[in-house]
Amino acid sequence: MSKRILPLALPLVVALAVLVLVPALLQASGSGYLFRVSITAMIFAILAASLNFITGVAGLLSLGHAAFYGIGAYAAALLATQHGVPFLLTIPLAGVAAAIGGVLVALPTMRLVSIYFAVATLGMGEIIHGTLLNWVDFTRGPMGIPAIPSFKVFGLDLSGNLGSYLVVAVVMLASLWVLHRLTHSYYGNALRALREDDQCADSMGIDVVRLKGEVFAIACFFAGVAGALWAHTTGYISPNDFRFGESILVLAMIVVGGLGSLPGAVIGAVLLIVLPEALRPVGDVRMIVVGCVMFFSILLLPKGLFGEVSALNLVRSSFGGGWKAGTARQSIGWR
Amino acid sequence: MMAALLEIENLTRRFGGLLAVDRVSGRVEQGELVGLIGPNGAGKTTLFNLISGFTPPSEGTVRFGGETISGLKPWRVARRGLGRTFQNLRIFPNMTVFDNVSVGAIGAVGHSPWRSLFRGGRGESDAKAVSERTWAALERVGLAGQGHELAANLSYGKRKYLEIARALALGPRLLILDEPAAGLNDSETADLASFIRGLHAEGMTVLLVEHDMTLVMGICQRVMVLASGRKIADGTPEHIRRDPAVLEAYLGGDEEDAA
Amino acid sequence: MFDAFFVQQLVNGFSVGLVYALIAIGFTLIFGVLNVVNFAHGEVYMVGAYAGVVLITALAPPLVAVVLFVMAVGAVAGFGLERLAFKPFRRFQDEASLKSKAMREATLLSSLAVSIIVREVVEKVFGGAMRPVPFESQLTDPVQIGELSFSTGQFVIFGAAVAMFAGLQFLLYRTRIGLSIRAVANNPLGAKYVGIDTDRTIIATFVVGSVMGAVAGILVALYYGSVFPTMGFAPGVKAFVAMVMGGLSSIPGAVICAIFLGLAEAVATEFLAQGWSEMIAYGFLLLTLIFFPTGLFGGARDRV
Repeated sequence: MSKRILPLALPLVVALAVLVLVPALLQASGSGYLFRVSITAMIFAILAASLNFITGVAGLLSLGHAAFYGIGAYAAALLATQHGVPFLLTIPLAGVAAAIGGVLVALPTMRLVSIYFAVATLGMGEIIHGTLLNWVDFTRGPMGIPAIPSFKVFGLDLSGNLGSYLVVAVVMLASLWVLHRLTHSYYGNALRALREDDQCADSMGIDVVRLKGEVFAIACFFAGVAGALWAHTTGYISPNDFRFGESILVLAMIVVGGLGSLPGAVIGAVLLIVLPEALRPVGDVRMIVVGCVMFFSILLLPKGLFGEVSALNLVRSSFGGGWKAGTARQSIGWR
Repeated sequence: MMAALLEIENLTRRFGGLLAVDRVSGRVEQGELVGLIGPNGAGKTTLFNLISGFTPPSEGTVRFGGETISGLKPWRVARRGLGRTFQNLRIFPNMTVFDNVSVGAIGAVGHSPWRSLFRGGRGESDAKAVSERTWAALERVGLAGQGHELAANLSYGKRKYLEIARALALGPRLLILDEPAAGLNDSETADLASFIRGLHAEGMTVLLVEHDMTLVMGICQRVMVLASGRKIADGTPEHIRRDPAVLEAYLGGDEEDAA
Repeated sequence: MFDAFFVQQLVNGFSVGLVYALIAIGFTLIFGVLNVVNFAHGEVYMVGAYAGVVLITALAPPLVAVVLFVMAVGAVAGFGLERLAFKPFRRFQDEASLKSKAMREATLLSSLAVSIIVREVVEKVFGGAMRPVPFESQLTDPVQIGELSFSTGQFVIFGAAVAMFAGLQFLLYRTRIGLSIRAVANNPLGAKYVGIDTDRTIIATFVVGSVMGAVAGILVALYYGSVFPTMGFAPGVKAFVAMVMGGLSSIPGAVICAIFLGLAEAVATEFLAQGWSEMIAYGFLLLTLIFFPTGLFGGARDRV
């Protein structure tokens, strides 16, 4: 029996911790500030996990991820403030808007490799940021969009600290679950092959072009979802929230967590949101912390805090992802 | 007579003014073990790239199983059943041995993000098919015990078998091996020779592209010789050994290659 | 026939283009040799500007002394940058690693991290706001020629650009160190085997490139009359765009494209609002990458 229970134990523990233990502790502390930090960390966990899908798993270095986050946030904010669309719809629609943006970016830049692709995404990111800033009629430009409604549905008010926390937590768990299934499966193997050697993957029957398009669409969808959560929980967005620095922050999260590692991305996100907050007494040192953490992790910890190999092994053994065969003692394949 | 498994006709490729492959024709029948040899710069690699879809031909056609495949993308060619290895080992170093080989199986079974989301249904049958193909290929090359190791940690000789297993997982109708003996010592080459013979005995059609004659002359039923982009000979190893044009090409060119 | 205002715009655009060119030269030099993107180049430019302004504020020395001081600061910055962000990722013994994807991406990220740290530290020390250059030192005296008005800064920048371009050509093609730089750019392993100290050559490249970036920084600061911590980002990206458009490793190509970018932005302000014209460069970047992956002058693959 234990064999059947064990694979589900760890995911259950994670879900219980996020949905029960942490909110209970936060509620007990009664601190709105701690709620705010936790919500931000969860939103960035989605962002980091989605960037990890592009950059860590599929190996396409993107320097413009904040732009898709921004598209999602603006889509949700405009739908909610101007058309009164409820959040249950704005969140997926924001994802779809960002995914469309992602595919439009991916299509023309697909054949660029390595740093050229990275620079192209930087350019795309700046153009999207510039559009948010300058298309005043549509986005209100630098004034931003105020008074974005919080989570309310069917007369149920989830706009308080606990309500917002739970909505974000549920969306985060769902997003991470989808990315987990895509990363820790044979589909993930196809993506990793694309990262390691795309020509070689091509001659093994992997449709590289389709795969790159899918990766961008899926990852940008979740970046858009994160943007919608940000818009609804802060109530006010402006183009400044989606600048180059934000892309780098998310990149630093996945670098420190371990490129290609989904749990690493989450750990990196929590670390880089919580650490600057903890250092707040010293002053606003967020970007210095980000720079230093990124620099030292590239230098001293190139595999990250929770490297890909350990992450894949953990998932294979504890998340029921593995597949045993023949004489092999360990789980080696994917299910 | 049945159509040959692989049939190339007047295949030509120019790079600028250079004729890398010049009106080459040839065929590989179902179940054959054929060698393709030639001195350095003879156009072997270009010919290989033309067949596998990396380079579009300037002229001529490639037919595989009776259908024209020239102009198709490499992944489409692979899915029709053409498995290959690479001249300079191209494994996926940061993936496990099992995951490396699974890529060939994924290529054959297909990859869909939607299906991989759920356990059960077609997602499950896909995953099962990939796992089984991968496992069979690993067992065939004798790497089943090392499935969980990182490919980068394998010895050079074993990486060669890893590449072959990856191509086998695709379930190919034709296996093209690109200089598999390069970098192996004599006893390793002998092992490889008996391994390839074994594959052939099981019914696999193999095209062996080699720079060195020893392996090819030892195991192939038929040998094609390429020199300066042209096919200069095609026949049994005995016939090739006595062919004056072949001797000329090898002795006139790089003497070390005359085995 | 010519609208004087329009010609005036072109003149100003030309000056802006020269600024991009000054930065692009160093950028391209480093890219040509190591094949890596030095993301911190814009920060060297910013550090050069701050160093100069600090010296001017403290001592008010003549321009020549300021430039010499900034050159020294740039040299130190280039040296430190190479040791800190690039050297740890270079393993010459391994032939594949030098221009490998992993090395390029690691150094891109490490130089990006260094650039963030430097920018933030400068912001903490000097504040995030614009810092004016003492008025007497500014190169903003008007010079009227016919209907067009120039400023002294434009002439200084023009002179500096010509001097740097010529000096670099001299250095690359007439000196031993230039020969080493070209050799390493062409074939780092080959250069190593014929006895060139590749490590030292790479340091020299960073020092030369960073000296140029730093001097560009102070001249621009004197021309515009102010410095601020993020001043390196936009010109840095635009210099990068010029490098990509110019064919990645061609210095003349990068200079021509930098001037073209400056002119294009000036013309764009005629038709577009300020914010949109800022995005012209990114548009060119994407069009170039998508349609001319080897640059507009891609035919001539001059390595340095």
